[in-house]
Amino acid sequence: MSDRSIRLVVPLVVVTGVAAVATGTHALHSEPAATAAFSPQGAAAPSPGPGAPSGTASTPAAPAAEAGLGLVRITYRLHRLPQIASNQIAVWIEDANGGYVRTLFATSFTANGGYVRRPESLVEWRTTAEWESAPPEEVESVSRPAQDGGVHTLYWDGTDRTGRAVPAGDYTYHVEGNTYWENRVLFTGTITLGEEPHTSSAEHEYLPAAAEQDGVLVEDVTAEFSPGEPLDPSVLTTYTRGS
Amino acid sequence: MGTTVLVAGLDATGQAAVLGLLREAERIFSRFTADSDTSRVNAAAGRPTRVSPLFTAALAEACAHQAASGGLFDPFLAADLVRLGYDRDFAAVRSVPAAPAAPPRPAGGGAPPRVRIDHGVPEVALSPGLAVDLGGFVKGWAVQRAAGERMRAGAPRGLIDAGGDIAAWRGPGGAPWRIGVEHPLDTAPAGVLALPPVAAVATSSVVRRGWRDTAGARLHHIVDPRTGAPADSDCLQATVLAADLAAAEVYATCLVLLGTGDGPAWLAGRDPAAAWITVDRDGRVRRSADLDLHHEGAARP
Repeated sequence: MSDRSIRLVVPLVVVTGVAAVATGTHALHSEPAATAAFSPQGAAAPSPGPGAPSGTASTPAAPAAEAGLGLVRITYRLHRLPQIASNQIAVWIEDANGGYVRTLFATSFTANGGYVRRPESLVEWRTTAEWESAPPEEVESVSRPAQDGGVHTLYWDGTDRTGRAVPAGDYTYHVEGNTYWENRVLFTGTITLGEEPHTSSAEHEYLPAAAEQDGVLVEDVTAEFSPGEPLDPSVLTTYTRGS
Repeated sequence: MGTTVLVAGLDATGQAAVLGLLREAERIFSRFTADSDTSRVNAAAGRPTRVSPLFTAALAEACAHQAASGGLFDPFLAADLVRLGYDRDFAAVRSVPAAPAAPPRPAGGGAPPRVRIDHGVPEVALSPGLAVDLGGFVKGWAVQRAAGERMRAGAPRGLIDAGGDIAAWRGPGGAPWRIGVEHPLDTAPAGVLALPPVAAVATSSVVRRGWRDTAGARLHHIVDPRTGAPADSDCLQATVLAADLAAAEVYATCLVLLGTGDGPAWLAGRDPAAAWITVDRDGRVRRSADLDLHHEGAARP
């Protein structure tokens, strides 16, 4: 059991071809092509329901999460960069006024205090989320190890960091990644939560512009909102497989 | 544990508790960190080593399974795994030099390993040369423990999945958790299970965590304690549905070791209530008759 298994740290995560059900923020990971042939994704395409309760509330005393308006699926393609001081990423949601809503994913090194040693790590996210003062439960619930390359999907159930359902409206999703030391890439897109489905793609900028020379860390960031439906109990939750 | 975890159906406090326990298990049981209990016990050359209560509890249970299985399940195969090249985090295992042959196993299994477990201190001493690897067993053991804690805490429903080893529970009137059984050679699942109210499902496979040595021989992490070599039966993958995840993990491993012919009969003798699904080298799926109670046919397209 190595550091790689710190994937265990993740709250709700990441199983190949798993349908997202039952609870708050799910992250799904599509295996790289080399192993995809053995994955059952095609047989059980995710059929996201609204996510029942239980988001990643920020404190133990937080109220039970409410059912959100539906499910937002955020998908991105990650490439592992071969250099040091890179491959840290965070994904988070803001409201239309730029107010922090919640974090869906943050690489565990930075999320768990690596910013002390590397203050240039994920600056935008840490500032917005005021991460240095985030409660331990929130840190534990979103921090995850660096992901493998491939297509990853995160699910946001439309609740905020305390588990309360957010109102209908426009929300901004961000993916920030460090490409090399202070160099970063920042994706920003807007998704509308309401009664209708909505999809969008995120725009990106390199910070500074020369960071583009570091290589592509993240690309193809998109979001898809599916209005709420009753949780379908026939949906597969996960797969058992050899490990 | 080199795996990913899905926690579903629990509130934030429950999630944090589960992940905290699994993180603690990672710290205690890793073979690849020098300060883990496992590494310190293995390096102690027979001297008593102070360990955490979790370590003594898991090791004692593993030893009980070893005894009950007649040694077919063996938690002391760390030296064999190192000899085969699995001596670091699996993500870092690459092509390794051709492994030397396993030392000959004494007829009849030889003398049982000497393991002294003192739960009071707590401390553990292994006979010199013996090295423990609770590996996949402790993953299931820790998940089962975490699930038990959440159930006792009153969580009405939950599912914890650590890399395909799954513990799930629900109220009697609740909708069943449905899980797929991945087929190692096919994109369609080997089956879909609607789990009973309290269930544990573990799968062992020789397809995952495989690597090659420089001579081209394919190796994998399921070592047959009878030979010291990777399991070589006709069973590529075995899934067991039981009441306890640590036991299910042991049973699934033993099915892979014994193959699709002898394995099911052995399991019926160990735990008649356990249900199973195997996939052989030709991709053929077999399952226990009682699994029909839970089997839902193929996954939905």
